[in-house]
Amino acid sequence: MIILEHGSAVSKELMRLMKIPIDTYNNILTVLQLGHYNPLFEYFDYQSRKIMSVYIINNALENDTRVPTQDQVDAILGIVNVLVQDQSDQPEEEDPEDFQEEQITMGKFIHLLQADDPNQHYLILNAARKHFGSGGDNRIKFTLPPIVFSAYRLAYKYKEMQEQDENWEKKCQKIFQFCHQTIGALIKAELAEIPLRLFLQGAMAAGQIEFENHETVAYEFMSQAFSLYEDEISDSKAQLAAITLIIGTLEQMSCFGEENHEPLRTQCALAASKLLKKPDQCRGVSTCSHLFWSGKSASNEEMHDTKRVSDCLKKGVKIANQCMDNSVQVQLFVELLNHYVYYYEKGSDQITVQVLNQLISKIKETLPNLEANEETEQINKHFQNTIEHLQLRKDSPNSEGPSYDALLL
Amino acid sequence: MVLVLGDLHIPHRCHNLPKQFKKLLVPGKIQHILCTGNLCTKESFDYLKTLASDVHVVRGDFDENLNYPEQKVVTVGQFRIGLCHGHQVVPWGDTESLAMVQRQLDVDILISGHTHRFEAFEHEYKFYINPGSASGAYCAQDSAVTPSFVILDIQQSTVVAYVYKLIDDEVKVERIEYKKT
Repeated sequence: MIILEHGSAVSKELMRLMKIPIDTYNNILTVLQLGHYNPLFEYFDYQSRKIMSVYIINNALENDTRVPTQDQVDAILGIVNVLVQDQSDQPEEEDPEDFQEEQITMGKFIHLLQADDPNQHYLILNAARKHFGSGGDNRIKFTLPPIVFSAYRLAYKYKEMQEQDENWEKKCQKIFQFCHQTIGALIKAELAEIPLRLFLQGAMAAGQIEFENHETVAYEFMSQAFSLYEDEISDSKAQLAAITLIIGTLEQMSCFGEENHEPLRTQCALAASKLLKKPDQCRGVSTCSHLFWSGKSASNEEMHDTKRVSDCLKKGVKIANQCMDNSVQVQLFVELLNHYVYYYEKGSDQITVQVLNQLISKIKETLPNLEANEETEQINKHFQNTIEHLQLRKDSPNSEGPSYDALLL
Repeated sequence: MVLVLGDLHIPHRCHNLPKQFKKLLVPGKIQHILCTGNLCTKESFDYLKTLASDVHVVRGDFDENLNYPEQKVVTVGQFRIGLCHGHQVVPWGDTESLAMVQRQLDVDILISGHTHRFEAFEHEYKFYINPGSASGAYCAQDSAVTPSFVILDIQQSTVVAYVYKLIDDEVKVERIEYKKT
């Protein structure tokens, strides 16, 4: 078997020749039907195969060429195999930027693998998963997330077409199992951040699609996200980002009965209070308060648990009091004041004007003691804006809303 | 002219911006770009840099670059403009929660994203904009996302926002005005 060296005259001519049908048809599916096209690839060395493969995939992307059958998926991923799996003739070291660019291109390509018929689409995704799944840890982080999102979208499609398919619910369940496994493969490759986010996305999707058993699936996905948070996210900045995302996700969901919602929101509150840095704890706990207000469990109505909301904010104040940096402390107080105002306006009865007044006077007391610098200016402005907002409410009261008369500004 | 866009989610959820949008976004016409985040890769950032040299990006929950700031304030003409992805603001897309950010950043205009739903409204004399998703990327809450982005024309104390939406393969434009008080 002759292998043509990249850059040699024959190699160059062959590449030029093989690009002609790609450029002429602008449809790689047609190109692959050419009888003798694929075998010619075997003459190319690694570098040439790379260049030709990238050329093919880019042509597909530029022309939005959909790949609607499993056979065609197999054919294309077969011919561009150099981009999908490790090769026996690949060099020891590759340029990491080039590699990343190629894999991102493959990630994009996955969105072209689609069929109108959802059953067909599922087969395609399955086929793609097999191909890309054997790409190794370095590749799957680029190629499996698009597959997961494509699968989530497919689940919505099944729901839309439920009239035509009495088995749509079981199929949705299967899709989520497929996603669970696919995300699992990313975890095995020692990733944590992206799997956590994919699990949260899946939980939301399951909650929205409401197929049979969706609550169990959504709970499982939320638990998996939590496990990743507890076991794999150790950087404090990443922890704050992750727990905020988990809280934000849970706040949106309405598929959990009380039995499932209670442990989830409790875990959130606990995790927030255990963040390492005090300011993060304070902010985490304040964000968590929303779970107890607009979070939905059971009856699909907002919880409006004013006591727990108040507890969260009180805890926030306590934590803020423990901050040694005066500037940070005042900043946190102003943020907490804004949270208190938020709930006061919504009619939370545990939050009274007295509480607002107390916090306002505390801030007025401590602000002047701060060193005059840019940061203090910002905190000042923040506080002023908050007071102005309250003044606005006081001056033009909503007849149905709470009274601002007793507010001391 | 300020281009406001975000939530592209390339390559996780989309492979490209719509062709019709790419045709409109040409270099030389835009001075500043404010991106709400979730590009998600450097490739998209580099593309934005070809449209304008002054590009500001804030961190979205799927951005691979963890060094983008959580929030940013940019001054254009008479306007202080705040930029934040919005997944950090709970509840997502909630006006009063966004108002808390507006007060903290002390801005006239607050730009946020994450919901993949275009919004532009005035609230307590301040202007709030969500450019939606420029690529029409999947969003768990919304099974039908309309691709959209916004161009701001800032003249003295008036901002005119042009929102571009791709509806049934055609680009539709709406105009909203905001005056600073």
